[in-house]
Amino acid sequence: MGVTVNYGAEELVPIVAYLAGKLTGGDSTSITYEKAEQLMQAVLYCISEWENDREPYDGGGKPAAGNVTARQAYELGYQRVVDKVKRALALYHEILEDFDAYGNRCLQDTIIKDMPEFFRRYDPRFAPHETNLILDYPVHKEMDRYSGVDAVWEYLSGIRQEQIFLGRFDKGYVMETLWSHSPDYMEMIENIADIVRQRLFMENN
Amino acid sequence: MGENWLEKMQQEGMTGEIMAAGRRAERYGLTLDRETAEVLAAARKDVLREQRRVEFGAGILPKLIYEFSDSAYMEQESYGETLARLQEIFYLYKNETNDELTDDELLHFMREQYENVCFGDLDYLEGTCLNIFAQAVRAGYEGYKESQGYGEYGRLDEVKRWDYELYLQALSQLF
Repeated sequence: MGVTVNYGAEELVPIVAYLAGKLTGGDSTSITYEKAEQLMQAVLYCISEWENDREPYDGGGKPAAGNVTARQAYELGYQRVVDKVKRALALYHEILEDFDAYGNRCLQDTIIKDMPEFFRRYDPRFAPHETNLILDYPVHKEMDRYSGVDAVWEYLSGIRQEQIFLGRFDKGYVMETLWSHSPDYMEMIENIADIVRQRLFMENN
Repeated sequence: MGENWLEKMQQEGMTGEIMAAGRRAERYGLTLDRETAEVLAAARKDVLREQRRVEFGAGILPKLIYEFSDSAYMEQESYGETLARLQEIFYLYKNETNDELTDDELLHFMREQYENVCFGDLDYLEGTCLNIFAQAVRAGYEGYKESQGYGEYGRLDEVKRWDYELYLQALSQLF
């Protein structure tokens, strides 16, 4: 994800200064280069969120990029990030209602143990670009291009699709398919839905 | 974006702010001329770059000038040089304490030590007092939060120091 609107440093730096002031609560007049770079990443991430917004946020469609200042783009993008976190949490709760890891420890740990940590630690203001989570269980998606709440949203969307797909089959059928693939399926780090799809393909061809 | 934007973030034109702060120190017999203020502003940019820090707003110099203006160890002939050195020490120890201290906490500590322990010796302030304090902070010490940086060194100092009041009392009894 990258920012395509050409905002210069002279427009972005005041936003970084604003975030630095918020971060230190006015108790410090300086920050390290590393912290400043992190805040710049936060600004760029939110602006990128605004740019990539495919749904009208304000009900009237997205204003043309040329009419929006960097600060406005940042604030709109930040609001998008906050909203996306809420939507991701709602999606997560939806998944949990009928969640089944089919005995696979990697899927179980990633969704049940690790995912709540994201929602506990995620910082939409000062580090929206950081995922702070290793998504061990592989979903059927190219995840490298995503970060922060976008990564979690895409990941959970993938998990939901998988759970819906797997839910169409008798649980015994899924477990037997996984066991046939590998008796150690409980410890494997492979996509479960892909294994079931492979079996279906073999059975129908 | 590269590091150029970090240097751009450093505000130019700090000389005015520095001179305004310097005017407050005039009541203590210390004056800051434009040339010295410009040297301090340039020194600020250099030390921020060396310490890899970015400053926003008015920066620390006005507060530093105000904090040290009534020190018994500030002299007009070395005023600019002393302020530059204090500024350098300040940024160094913001890093050495991992930004755990607010500006005020660090300034209060520095001022108190400079006055009552170091007796104006900047090398001692930098190399001993602040060094010991920073080690304690990095190890998890948080007492400065309640004290705002005042009266901290006594808890960490290993050296038995003169009690100045007691010394004066003993002296008065002798004569």
